[in-house]
Amino acid sequence: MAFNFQSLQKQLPAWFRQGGAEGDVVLGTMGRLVRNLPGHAFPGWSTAEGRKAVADILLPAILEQPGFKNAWHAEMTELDYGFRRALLERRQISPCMAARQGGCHLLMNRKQDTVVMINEEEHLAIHSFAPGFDFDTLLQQLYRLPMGLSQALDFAQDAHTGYLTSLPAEAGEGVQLYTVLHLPGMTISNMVPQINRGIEKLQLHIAPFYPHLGEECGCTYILYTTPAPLGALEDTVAHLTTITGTLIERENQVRARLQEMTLRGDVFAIDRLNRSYGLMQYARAITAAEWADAISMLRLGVAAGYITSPDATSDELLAELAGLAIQGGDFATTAPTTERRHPREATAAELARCTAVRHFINHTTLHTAPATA
Amino acid sequence: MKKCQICGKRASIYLTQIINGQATDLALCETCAREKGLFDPQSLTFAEKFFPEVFRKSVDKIVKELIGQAEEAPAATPKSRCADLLTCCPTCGYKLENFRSCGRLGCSDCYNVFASEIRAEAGAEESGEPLPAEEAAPVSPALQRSRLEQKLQAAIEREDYETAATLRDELKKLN
Ligand SMILES: [Zn+2]
Ligand SMILES: [Zn+2]
Repeated sequence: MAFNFQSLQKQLPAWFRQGGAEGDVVLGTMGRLVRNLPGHAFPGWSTAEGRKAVADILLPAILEQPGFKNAWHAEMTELDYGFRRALLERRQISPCMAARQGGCHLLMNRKQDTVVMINEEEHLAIHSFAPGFDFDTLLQQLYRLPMGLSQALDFAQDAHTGYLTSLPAEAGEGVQLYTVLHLPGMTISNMVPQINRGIEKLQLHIAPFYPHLGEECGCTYILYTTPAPLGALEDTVAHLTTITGTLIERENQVRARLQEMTLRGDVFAIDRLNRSYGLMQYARAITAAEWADAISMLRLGVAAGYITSPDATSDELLAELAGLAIQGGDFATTAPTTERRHPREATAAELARCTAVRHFINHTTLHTAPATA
Repeated sequence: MKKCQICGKRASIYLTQIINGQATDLALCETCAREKGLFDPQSLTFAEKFFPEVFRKSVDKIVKELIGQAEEAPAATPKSRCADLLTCCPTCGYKLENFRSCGRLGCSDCYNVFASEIRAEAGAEESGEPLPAEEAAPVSPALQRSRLEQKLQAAIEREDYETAATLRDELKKLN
């Protein structure tokens, strides 16, 4: 089945829209699993024929697996720059894959929680996503395909090193894990660089989720480990879980402090929330960066009770908005078609965004102090 | 259709580089690009689009080298069957010098061929961790900058543009 960009734009992966039981701090978890075939040059070193040979082995085998029988599939040559960029922005593909051409294939299951890359940096690379803070679900999802494939295929491995990868330092379990964190409190308070220095000593890293938006923008981050060495998968999960827990705690403390400051009459803490609400209400052309920032602040506002709706659906309304974030362009217009100076045809994505923004503004109220339930 | 400037076969990799104020177009076939140790030429396309400054710097070196070589030995035949089993992988033709220059391997059999080299690299990396004393001492901005620049250079050499992007941002913050 060929990729249908329209439908991909409409239904974004679940974790883009909802958080987990930990509230809105952890948006989701991500995993990257890589495997290679023995006796074939790695994609970065192979020739066009070599890549084709690898794809001829992997592609039919993957399309046999449960969940992938009617998966979306394309050779990279069929995908345009905008589509590649949209996938890259959501971290569904790696930067390396974004540049790939012939003999390199992309697959995505219908649930959109798992993306499979053939001839990326490694022969097989799988990116999987799960909403909330639940590594059990994520790992099950991530391992389903390689477990099925290993019945029919041998992957390159070595008893002492583990799964072999093109970069020797990444050999081992062939798995790298991430949590996606929403940290507006720490971002407003400028605490992220400090956190970064602290966790680097613990072999963890934090980076903006949308690196292309530039620094100082957006409050969504990934916290990630280096690829797990052989036998270290459980430890890696435990380590990442602990540190994520610490960050949730810190973020909630910072948010509580911001709340206190607001109640004492400090306008600083609540200024950005109000600006973001105003931006959504009145802006007509928003950059992707502004959009991401505003969504972040609105999330915080909903979580802290500054934004409510009469029927208590502000969560859902926000989820709808957040699901429409940044789609492969620098500008997100929110102007209704009737307001357009140059009434070119609005894209489906623009119309959806416009509707979602109207919905959110018309059905919510912004308070000067948290509304207590 | 452009031809590879080294062997004359059909080119599949195009690089544009400004050298001494002049745009130089470079067309190569994948075989020749590999011959020149240009690991993963496709990833350069990504770097060019998403990461132009680093791309230019990184390709600059390669292009200068290639132009020099092309003038000296036009239409040289790219042939790389392994002459030495200790420095070249029989499965994929990867050479020890390729590994030294980019830190990546050519195929899973390279792990056996270059086993001692890989161990040595891993060892060096471990002992190369920042020393506690060094961490504690106040670092001058100039020193910090040159360290970051070194790291950035290394990241570019391994074509790890994601890390390079982060390092570049850190460098910008020092300005
Ligand atoms: Zn050639
Ligand atoms: Zn090899």
